[in-house]
Amino acid sequence: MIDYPALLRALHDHGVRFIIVGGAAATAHGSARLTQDLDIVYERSRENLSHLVAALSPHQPYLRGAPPGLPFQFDAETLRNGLNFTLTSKLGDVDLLGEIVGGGAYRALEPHAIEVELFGVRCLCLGLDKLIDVKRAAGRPKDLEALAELIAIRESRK
Amino acid sequence: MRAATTLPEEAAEERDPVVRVYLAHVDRTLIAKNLTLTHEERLRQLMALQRMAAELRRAGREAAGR
Repeated sequence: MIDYPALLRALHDHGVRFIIVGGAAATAHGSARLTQDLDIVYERSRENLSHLVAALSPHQPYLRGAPPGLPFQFDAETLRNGLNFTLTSKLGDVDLLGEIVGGGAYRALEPHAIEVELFGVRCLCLGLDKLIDVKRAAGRPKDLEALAELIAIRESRK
Repeated sequence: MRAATTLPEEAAEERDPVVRVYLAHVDRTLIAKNLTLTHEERLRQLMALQRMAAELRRAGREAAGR
């Protein structure tokens, strides 16, 4: 279970530049599928990494699925040295993605994002057309059914 | 339970045969309902679904342990 209001508020209040992608973005566009986490593409400037660490550190982010007790430090250096992180936290599971297949990094995705208001926070969410592109590019069998639904949503909006 | 559907316009144009099959069976009534909601209402509905899923998993584990 994930606390979307608290997570989005934490990211917003710390000035984190991010774009909601994945299942939560699909939900925002009208998907009826169940997703269990929040996927975001974050901007990788030094400043934004610091904001991201400040936003999530109080919620004890840790590597999802890893055994407890690993010397994992959630800090800017760790983020700089890595790219994509699948984390669990007190607010729920969150995937921090430096880039995504078929879409690239934050700067490349930003022109394809739309602004949405969620729980009193204005944030960027990947637009439906680009979300379809990245789902198609990911090409995983599990994505094909989700891809079909996104295409149907686009058709329903016409 | 799915009602009979007609082949939607985009299904006929879709190149991937697997996606084409899925497209013909998407429940568009759920989509139509969701599109009447705001972005936030859709997220709130997702959280309710997550709570329900967690409760069902708990009940399932409990039943299996009896």
